This record gives sequence, structure tokens and C-alpha cells, in this order.
Amino acid sequence: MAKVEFRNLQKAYGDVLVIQGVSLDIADGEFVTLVGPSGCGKSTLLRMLAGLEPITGGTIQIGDRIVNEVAPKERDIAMVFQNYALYPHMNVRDNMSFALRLKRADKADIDKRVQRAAEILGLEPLLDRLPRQLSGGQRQRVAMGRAIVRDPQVFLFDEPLSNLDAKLRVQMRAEIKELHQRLTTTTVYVTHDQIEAMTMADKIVVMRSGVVEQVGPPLELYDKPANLFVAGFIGSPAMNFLKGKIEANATATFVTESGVRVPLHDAPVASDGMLAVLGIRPEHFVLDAARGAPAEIIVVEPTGAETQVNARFAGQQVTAVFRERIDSKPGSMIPLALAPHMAHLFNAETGKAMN
Amino acid sequence: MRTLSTLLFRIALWGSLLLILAPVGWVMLTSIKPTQISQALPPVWNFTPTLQNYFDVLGGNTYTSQHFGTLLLHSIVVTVASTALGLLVGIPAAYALARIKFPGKKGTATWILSTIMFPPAVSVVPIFIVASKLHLTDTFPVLIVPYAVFGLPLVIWMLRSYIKQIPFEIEEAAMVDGASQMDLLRYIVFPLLMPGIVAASLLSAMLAWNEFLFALTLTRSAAKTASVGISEFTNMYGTQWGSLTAAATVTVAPILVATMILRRRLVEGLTFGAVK
Amino acid sequence: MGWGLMSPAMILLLLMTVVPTLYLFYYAFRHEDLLGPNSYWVGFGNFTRVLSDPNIWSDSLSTLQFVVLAVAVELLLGLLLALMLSRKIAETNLLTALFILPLGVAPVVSALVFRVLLDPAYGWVDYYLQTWGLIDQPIDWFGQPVFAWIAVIALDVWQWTPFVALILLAGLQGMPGEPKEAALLDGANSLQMFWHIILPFLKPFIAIALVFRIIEAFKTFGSVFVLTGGGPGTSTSLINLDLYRIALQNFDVGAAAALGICFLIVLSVIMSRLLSILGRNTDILED
Repeated sequence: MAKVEFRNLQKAYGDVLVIQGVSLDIADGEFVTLVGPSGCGKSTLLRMLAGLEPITGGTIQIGDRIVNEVAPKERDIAMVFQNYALYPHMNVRDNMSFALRLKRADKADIDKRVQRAAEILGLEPLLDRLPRQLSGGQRQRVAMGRAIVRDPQVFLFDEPLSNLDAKLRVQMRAEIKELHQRLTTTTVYVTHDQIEAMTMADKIVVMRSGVVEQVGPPLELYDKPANLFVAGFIGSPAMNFLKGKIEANATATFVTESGVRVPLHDAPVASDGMLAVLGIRPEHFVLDAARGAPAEIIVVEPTGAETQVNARFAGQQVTAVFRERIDSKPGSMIPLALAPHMAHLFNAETGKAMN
Repeated sequence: MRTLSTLLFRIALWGSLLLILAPVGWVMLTSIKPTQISQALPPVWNFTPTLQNYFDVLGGNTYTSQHFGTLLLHSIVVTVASTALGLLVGIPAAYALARIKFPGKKGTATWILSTIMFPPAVSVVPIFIVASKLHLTDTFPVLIVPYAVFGLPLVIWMLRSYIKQIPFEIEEAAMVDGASQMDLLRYIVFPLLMPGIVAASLLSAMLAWNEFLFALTLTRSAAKTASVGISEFTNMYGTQWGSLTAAATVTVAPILVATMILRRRLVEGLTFGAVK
Repeated sequence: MGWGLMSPAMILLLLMTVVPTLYLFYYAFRHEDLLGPNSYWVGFGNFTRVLSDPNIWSDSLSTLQFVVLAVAVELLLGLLLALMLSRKIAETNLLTALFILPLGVAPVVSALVFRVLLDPAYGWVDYYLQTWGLIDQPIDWFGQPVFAWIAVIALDVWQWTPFVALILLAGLQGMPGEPKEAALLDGANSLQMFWHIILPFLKPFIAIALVFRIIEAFKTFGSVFVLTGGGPGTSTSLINLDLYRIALQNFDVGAAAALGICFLIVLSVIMSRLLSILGRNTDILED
């Protein structure tokens, strides 16, 4: 196990700068997720860490050494690929033992390690099968087994669950998390699914267009997003955004474009009339006949545990999530108000959080 | 109605098959007929099959200038050697074209493919002259090298397609697992390329085994192949049907069987990357 | 590194294409006396001789005629065969294996067999055609240009239609089912299905079969040489046969070289058109 450090990492394809100066610290034993939309550079970053992509600028450090010029096989890392990349012509046992056989390790040792990994992942009955005889979930586990057997300093995961169906994905998420708790190996995990990031990571790194937008523990990113992008990316259903401006008088108020007035409990540092965006998470809407503004229901989606309501509020469509059942039909009006202290304010120009 | 149309369809299909295979059937039939009746008209259908023709052909007991069995041996040597040579130079080239970036790659690849347009009838003249001057005519190498080259464009393109079919991720996984370039080729690429190698070998072997012009022009006796030998069963003395058909069967049989078994692979190699 | 791996193959290829071409250019401008010392420069003499020979032009036409006719018939029959073989009846696999047989027979052997079978005196074809009352007299297959042509085309078609069928069959078998199902639901009949759904999907495969067959057809030598020898007269003489005759029977190396160069030039033009067809219809040339 080891720590990983990125210092001012850059990657260019020709003239295009895909990774623009990323610096990151990953502590020993930490589970870090790289999230972001397609093309944000997260996979590129992972592959640079693996040594599968050359580095244009900056340094990568694994443990105590800088590994920029070190070949993948010397970096003591193991990687689980999106499409598993199992060796089709080898059975499960040979797939998992390949790396050790290349090193001419002691046969008894190899068998022991393969056996242990197979036990952890429930692969024992499958050891003599070929990859094409396995289901998606089983192949996924073999790919992980291959990584575990190596007992490396760092585990790398490149969107490993993307090709699994929803139910399997939920199950594997928990298994991977449990694996990490058991093995405590430093893990870098790439995904585009923010739920995976939230549930599995010790620390999330949100990326967009080759730049790190925010780094922090899941709940910190959830409760205190640093900018509009992170606020909208983390959390499902996504945060609602209301455009408007700030009236910075005695009682700071946010006025939406349609005129709805929202008193701000924590006065932001802002000039009067400044354009801003109010962010409010779906679960932070409350039904308040007294304080609330009328919202017209468009769609009601009961999921059993909660009720999701799409409504027209303050001139635009918002999504609200309630624990209680809502009986109202589409077309009827409900009084929506914002829970106190739950609003996020963002500078309309820079997108940065203001409170 | 459905079954009637299916029945008619089957009749049409099997009927055309019979028609197509008639020449092949004739060859095999005539090869086991005693020579006295093989050329008889109307054709004799009631006879005791005999392997005499085969014994004659393989035992050298025919009117041709040379022992056919020897010619078969020559064909085998030339075919195996040229196929091996083709693979030896073709596999690295295919790998380079499939995986490695280097300047001029696209143009080179296209040029290689375009060389199959070069008619042997055109290149045989200079090669014959050069070979004569170097006293290399009627030797094995003078056929082995050209045969290897005849198949090379197709071999390279086929293998290139097969290599591209191997997901690069697998090679990356092996690299992360600690494989060197040699390890990669030996444990990953080569085993996975086996079907492609088999298909390419068959194609190359077919081209070499069946080749006629170069063998006719560049060999006399020491390296003469079966293709040329067969054509000599028809000469000014008439045609020995029995010997001809027996020799034909023996010459054709190996490639025939291989083609039937490996027909899917053969086409696979040629149609990879077909669909846009 | 890339060029390192490429070099052995490149050397061999250059050896068999560029080197002979250079020799051709050398000999084309000379009168070459292979057996004695009387070789001398003749400038464009060989070219004018070759290009003013009416036989050469008629043989060029023959070559073109051969390629066009043979390939066209092979494509049509091959498509028909592939369509029939793609129907799912029990014996499809066996049938396919059997239909492939002609492909595995050496062209020289097929030519010999055809030659023997078409012999007017002893051949079974004329014999059975007469016995079944379809003709009165044996057809002199090799004595009349029309019949010789039929024989030559028939041989090529017999030999190579399975190849075309195999390629098209691969295309048909790889075809996804959904477009066909959607068309059925939209009310398409068999003909419409074929024309609008199946045929467009087969385009890349047709392109491949077309390109490879045309290339190979232009290189045909052995089968025609053995079947008709270019006869009767020169009616079925292809350029390849002319090259052989001029160089290795007349020993007129200069003329053969000149003819060879002209042929190569024409073929290069044709080849580039074929490559562009391949490039437009398939992904084969993509990196």
C-alpha cells in the first residue's frame, strides 16, 4: 500500500490540452473516486497513473518514487478494466495467476494466493472455466481476482460496473466496498455514476474538462458544493437551480426572475442587484401553506419510499422529493417553500458558491 | 403450400449441386475404373473398382516424363517452405500495421494490398532471365520466394484484421500484469492469433500448391511441381484418363479437404472490417 | 520499430515487384539477344511494334471481355447461391461444404478435366448432349471461338462462383435480424425486402467479392492456357497468354517487356479504382 501524489499533471494530445494541471493527494489506504462527465479526463488520469498513457507534464508519485518514466509492469499496480480484459484463451485460474507466472514465482505460493482470492470473491467453482463461459458479474469478479492476487500498492478501477445491469451493479458496489475494507489497499476508482462515487469513496474528486472542480469526502461535496457544476453533478435527483438576483438590503433576499422572494438567512457577501443562482435540493422543499408559494404539479412519481414531484415553481420546473405521500393530482396547486438554511447561493457569472 | 415450395427449393438446390459436382464425380469415378474402359463411350457403369491407376501414378508407371510421386514431393516442399516463409515475414508486418504507429503507415499498407494486382505473367519474364543468369532455375528457392510473395499481401491483410480483433485492452492488462513485449507476443498475441494463422496458412498453401505459370517456366525436372506434372498427362500421345484422374485426385485431395473444413476461417479473414 | 518489423516483408515485396519492373523498363527499350551478343537499344521500337499489332488489341479486348463476363456471371450466380444457402433448412451446413468443392480444385486440374470432358470425340458432355437429343452433332468446343469462349467462361464460373457465394453468405449470415423484422411489420414483400434491406447491407461484401475477383480474373493464366491454349487461333487469347508466348516461345523479350509495362500501367489505374471502391464501401482500409 502506498500514497499517490499528482503534481501539476498535464496531458496533451497534439495541441489539445486534455488534462490541465491536476494536483491531488491520495493517502495510503484511501478509496478515492474520480467522477465527471464523459470527456472530463478521469480515465486519462487513471491511465497515466497506470503508465498506459505518456505524461506530458507534471509528476506522478507512487509511494516514495516518481513513476513518470516507469513502465506499467514496474509500478506495482493492478487494474480492473471496464470490459474486464480477461485473457480469453486462459481459464479463470490461469487468468488470475498470469502475473505471478510471468515473474516465475514459486508454484505453491501462486496456488495459495489464487485460492485465497478465489475464496474472497466466491470464484472457487469457476476456476477451470473459460471467460466466455462466465456471466458479466462473474467476469467482473475474475478481473478483480486477477488484481487481488498481485497484492499491489494501488488498485485502479476503470468504470468496472458500467457493463452490468442495475441490480448487479448495486450488489457489486457493496462487494467492492467490503473488499476495500478488508484489504485496505489504496484504491483509485473512476466512474461517471455519481451514486457509485458517493456510496464507495472516502474522497471524491469531481472533474470537468481536464480540471479538478472539487475534492472532498462525499458528504462534504454534497452539503457544501464549491460551484454550480459540482452542485448539479452530485446528488440525484439533481439540485434545482433558480435564477435571479440578490437584494442586499437590511434583510438579504433572493428574488427569482418571476418575482418570488426568498429570504436569505445567512447574508452573503454581495452587492445589491447582483445576479445569482439559488440552489435547492429536492428534499429541501417543504409544504408550507403559510410561507410557501403556489406551485402547479406537473407529474407525481411515487417510488414507495418517497414521492417525487415535478412542479412549476417560480417560473420554472423544479423537482421536489417528499417522504410523505402526496395525494394531489397533476394540475393542482401545492404550496412550496424552501427549508431554512438549506439554500445554496452561487455567483451567476463565476458559478462559485457564495455561502 | 409452404412445404411444397420448400420441397421445390430443395430439389433445385440439390439439383444444382449435382450438376456442379459432376466434374468432380467424374474424376473420382474414372480414377477407379480400369484403364481399358475409362474412355469408353457409352460410359461403362458396371465395373469392379480398382486402385491400379493410383498405383501407376504413384509408382511412376505412366507415360509421363517423370515419376508423379516425386512431383508431389516437390510440391509439398515448395508449399510448406513458402507458407512458412510467408508467415515468418508476414506476422511481424501484420502486427506492425495493426498496432504500431509509424510514419507512412497508411500508404505502405495500401501499397502492400495493391501488389496483388501484379500479374505473374509480367514478373515471370524478368525473373526467368535473372534466374537463368544466376543458374537458379529448376531449384526450390526460385519457386519458394515468389510463392511466399504471392500470398504475402493477403496473408498480411488477413493477419492484420485478426490482430485488430484482439481488444487492445487485453494487451494493456497483460502489460499491467507485468508482461514485456516478448511476453505479450508469446503468451497473448500468438495464442489468440492461432485461428488467423491457420486461415492465412491455408490461403498461402493453396496459392503455392495450385500455382502453374512460375512452375512451368522456372522448373524443368529437379523442382517440377505436381501442377505442371498433371498438365503433362495430356500430350500428343493422347490422354491417359485413368492416370490423369488418379493424379488429379491425389493432387487435389489435401487442399479440397482443408478448404471444406476451414471455409469459414478463409472467408472470415477476407471479410473482416467489411461492415462500415 | 514499426519499420523494423515491416522490413523483411517489404524487402520481399519490393524484390518481386519493383525489381522486375526495373528490368522490364530496361528490356523494353532494347532488342535483347538472350543467347548471343547482339543486344542493342531500340528506343520506343518495341512499344510501337506491340501497340500497332492488331492481335494485341483484340487480345486486350478479349481480356476485358473475359473479366467482365466471368465476374458478372459469378456475382449473379454467387448471390443466388448465397441466398439459397442462407435459408434455414437442415442440410445447409453440409450443402455449403459441398458447394465449396470447386474452390479447392486447382485451376489447372479443373481446366484439364473440362478439356477432357468437352472433347468432341471422347468427352462425356457432347456424348450426353447427343444422347439426350439436345444436339445433333458434337459441339466442337475448341474449334469454334463462340464455344471456346463459353467453355472458358464456364470454367471460370464453375471455379470461382463458390468463392463469391462464400463471401456473400458470410454477409447474409452476419446480418442483424431487426431491420428485416421491422420491414416485415411495415408490410414489405420478399422482393422489396431484398432490394431495400438485404442488398444495401451486402454492399461491403459485394465490394470485397467484386474487387478480389476482378484482380484474380486479370491474372488468369493456367486455366485458359490448359483449356484452350488461347485458341482456336487467338480467339481466347488473354494478354497473359500473349506475354508468355512472346517472351518464352518467341524469345522476343523486348516486346514482352513493352507489353508488360503497358499492361501494368492499365492495371495500376484499374487497381486504384478498385481500392477506392473498397475504401468507400468497407472499413477494410481504415486504420
